[in-house]
Amino acid sequence: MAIVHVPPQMQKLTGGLTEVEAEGDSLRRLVSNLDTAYPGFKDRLIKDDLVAPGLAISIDNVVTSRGIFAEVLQDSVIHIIPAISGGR
Amino acid sequence: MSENFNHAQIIKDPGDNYKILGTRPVRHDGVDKVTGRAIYGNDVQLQGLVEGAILRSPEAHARILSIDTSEAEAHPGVLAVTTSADFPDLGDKIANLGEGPVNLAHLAANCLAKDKVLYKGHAVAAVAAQNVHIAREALDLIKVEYEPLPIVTDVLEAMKDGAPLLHEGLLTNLVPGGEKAEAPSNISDHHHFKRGDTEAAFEAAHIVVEREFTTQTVHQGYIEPHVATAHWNQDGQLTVWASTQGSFSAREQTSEVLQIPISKVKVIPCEIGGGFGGKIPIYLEPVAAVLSRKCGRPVKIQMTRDGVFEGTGPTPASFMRIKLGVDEAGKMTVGEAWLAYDTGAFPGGVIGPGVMCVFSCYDIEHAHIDGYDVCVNKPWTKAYRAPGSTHVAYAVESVVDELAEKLEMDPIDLRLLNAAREGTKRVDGPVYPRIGLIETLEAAKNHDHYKSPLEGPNRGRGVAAGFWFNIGLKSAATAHVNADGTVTLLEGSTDIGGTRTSISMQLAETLGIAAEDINPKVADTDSVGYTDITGGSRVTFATGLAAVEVGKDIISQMKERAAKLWECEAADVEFSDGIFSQGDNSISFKELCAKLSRTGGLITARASVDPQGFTNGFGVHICDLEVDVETGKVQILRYTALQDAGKAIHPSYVEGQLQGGSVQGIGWALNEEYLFDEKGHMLNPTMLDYRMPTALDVPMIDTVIIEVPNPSHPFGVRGVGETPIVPPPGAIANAVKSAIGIRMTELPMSPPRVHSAITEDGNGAS
Amino acid sequence: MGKKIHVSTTINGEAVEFLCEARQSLLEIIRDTLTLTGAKEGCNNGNCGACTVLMNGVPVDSCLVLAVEAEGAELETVESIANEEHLHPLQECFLEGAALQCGICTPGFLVSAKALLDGHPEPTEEEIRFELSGNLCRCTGYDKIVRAVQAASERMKEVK
Repeated sequence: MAIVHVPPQMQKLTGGLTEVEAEGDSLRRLVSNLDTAYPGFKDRLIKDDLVAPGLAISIDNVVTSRGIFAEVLQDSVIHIIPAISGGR
Repeated sequence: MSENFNHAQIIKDPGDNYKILGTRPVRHDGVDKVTGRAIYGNDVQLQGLVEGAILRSPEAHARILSIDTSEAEAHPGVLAVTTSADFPDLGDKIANLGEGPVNLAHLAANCLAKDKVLYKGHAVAAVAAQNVHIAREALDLIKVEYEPLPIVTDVLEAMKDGAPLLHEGLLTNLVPGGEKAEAPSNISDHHHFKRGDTEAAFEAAHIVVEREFTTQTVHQGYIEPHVATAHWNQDGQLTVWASTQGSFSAREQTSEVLQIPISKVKVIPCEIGGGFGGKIPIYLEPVAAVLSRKCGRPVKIQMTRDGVFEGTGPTPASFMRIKLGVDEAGKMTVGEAWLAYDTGAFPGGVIGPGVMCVFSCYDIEHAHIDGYDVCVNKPWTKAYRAPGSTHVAYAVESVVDELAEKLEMDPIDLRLLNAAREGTKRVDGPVYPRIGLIETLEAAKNHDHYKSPLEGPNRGRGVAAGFWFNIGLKSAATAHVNADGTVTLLEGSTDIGGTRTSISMQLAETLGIAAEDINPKVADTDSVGYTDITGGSRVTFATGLAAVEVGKDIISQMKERAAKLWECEAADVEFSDGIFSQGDNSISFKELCAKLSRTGGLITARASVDPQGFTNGFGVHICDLEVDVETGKVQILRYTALQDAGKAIHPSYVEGQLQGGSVQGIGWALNEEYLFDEKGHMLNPTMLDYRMPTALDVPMIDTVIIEVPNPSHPFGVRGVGETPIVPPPGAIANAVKSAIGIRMTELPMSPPRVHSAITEDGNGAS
Repeated sequence: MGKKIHVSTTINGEAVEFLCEARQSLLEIIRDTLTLTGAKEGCNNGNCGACTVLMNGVPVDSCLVLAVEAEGAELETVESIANEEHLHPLQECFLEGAALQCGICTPGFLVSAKALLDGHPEPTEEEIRFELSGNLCRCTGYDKIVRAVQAASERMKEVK
């Protein structure tokens, strides 16, 4: 099971949990499973198959540019962080 | 030859034995650039070329009631006039344009205002005419009726209830998380991170320092104004000659604003006269395109200098509150940051990296960070070299310095005690891979500059550290191997500071040939694979990686040719140092090139890469200065920039990045700021009044390159371009404190500000 | 605009004539009419020095000179610094010393530096910084530019 660190602004969805576990070998499957356990995640994280505007997802300390197709390992650690952009 | 170009001290990695990397060949585009032959955006000459000019708003916030262009259209010599009415309606579409999502309606409305102008200088209309003088005459004939609205330019004022709203429907985006606030405001994003128990940790801390800081709007200040030339052909094909940091990004932005397929747009990147983040967004391209469509001629628009200051994206002003606590030994246990950056006219500024960078140099267990992105009636802010990081480094490094004073500790020792290292977890989550902050701090501590005495009244020394990411993103490259043993390399990264050469050197190292035997070309969007922007300190890293992959492809194809010559298996052919061999057979790269056409034809190789993940760069700067207490003027006496640069491919250009970034940081620290009157009009939109550093304002900038290899690049390359602007304001503020005993909590530390701080301090008001 | 004005001048050793409007700057004529695009427009108000050319041997911001003022003048631009076969020592030293990054300010710096060394072959660092303070560079922080001028001064001494 991968570990997802839940940022403060999303802890409402997890009832206050700061980290949760989820299954899935791609970000798409992981977020879908997460959304089943804690409804609302998918809407927040994914827009049109991409990571939602303003967000970035770090998988094992690597920020992925592959959106929902990013690979997730059994013991991956996932962080949700702001996107770096010089203006949108 | 007796001259000494005074090269940097380089602290090498023990495993380093490269042949080409680390040498200093003359750049491939050098002769063109010292003889005046290089073609920059404004040097484009085309059949039937006409010139354009932009009408800019005299109001900082107003509703546009009407625009009457009829007189301008009738003016002799005018060929076309355009307003936003000629742009397609984009609704609220978000497009992902390579370096991040863009709200297309905002992008288009920034190129030509729609129903409202949001800042003084906001583009409203444009004219194409036989020459620029006629175009400017015609601008005066365009009648725009404005209904002025109340303005807000200060970030804290704009956050208050009842502040004038720039966007009536703007609901704060809660980041990370994507949830929206309920009531509209000027706050576009609220970023929030928390770990541990900060309240208890502050309670338990031995010393706590809390300070508030403000910084003003500053501009990238590239010497070449924005310029674009567009030709809309009768077959619907649009060609754009652009001065851009990313030709593919410019193509996507232009095609989205105009709602035409990207295959209908070709962007030809010209030489670019500086960017520093400011030439990622488009301003002129779709405007020139529409004018060209209307008049059937190619149209070139170059911004005026005041147009650049008032109409393009500077980097934000900010308000920051930083609170740090340490235990008795000096270990930082807890930190709190409250940050508000103005994003200018439209949402989407640089607060995101600000919140990630604020405590990025240190290992702090308990932390709480809030960051706000706030709309104000100023130009839409954009990236400027390590966007968002310089602000927070100035604030945090000032507080760290104050902690060192209170602890009576050497400021470098305090930083060493708390420095982030491999395995440190940043407050926003990610854990650092191999990084070089410790090595850089140690090199600073051992540097002759830090050990030398500094004497004399009103003189002081300061140090500061700084952090920036290097992004990866996509790059492509194609190579053609020539029969004479040279290689033509096509790549898509705009060359702002010698990257043709730093990329070519990586291919040369891979192939075991001389850098001069690579012939690099920056190709247009029809001629090379997709390549993201020149930005994020990524080109030498990612496009360099593409070049390495191309090299591997060439070697593997050439092994097959060698195998043909020797009637053996390709798998049995070895390659090292530019020689192919198998048993007693051997042949050099060049010799084998001469045989290619007879063994199956010349070779083409290509690679497209999308390296995942950040690397990180850390800098430490040491500054000596003297304050003239009569006038408040600060003179930099000695300056040293040290950086964990990874493998320095071409050390001269690494030094150049360190020196140039330092001096931009010195300008930001000491002089540069946008001054506004109460109507929101910029008072100093000229280079003389904005006051960037001249050669006379700064000393030589010493550099030290610490080559801590990046584990995610075959040669250990880290990006170096952005980090050097981060430490200077903190280092200078700390040096000013050491010189005159006053902590400057506002940037810039310009003569009037320093002078009034000295006067107030003398009156006991400190 | 009224009638165009006829101007005779010498540029890079070659006699040229052109017609211009009274409001046109010398920079505009050099770039657009004479197609010598080495001189750059950075600000069009004399702040940045990217348009520096020599007028009767003296460096001027060509954006601040009206084209009509060039009547009878001798003009030199960056295009004249190298000869047919060789770069000038200043150009060599700018390249070897990596004194340019984006390169947009380089033509102006080369012209100003050439004027300095022509009149003053062995300037001090302070003199170089003073004489080049009318040219802005945003990329290099000036270190490598000043050193390139110093190196060129040395190299020109050795050649003599």
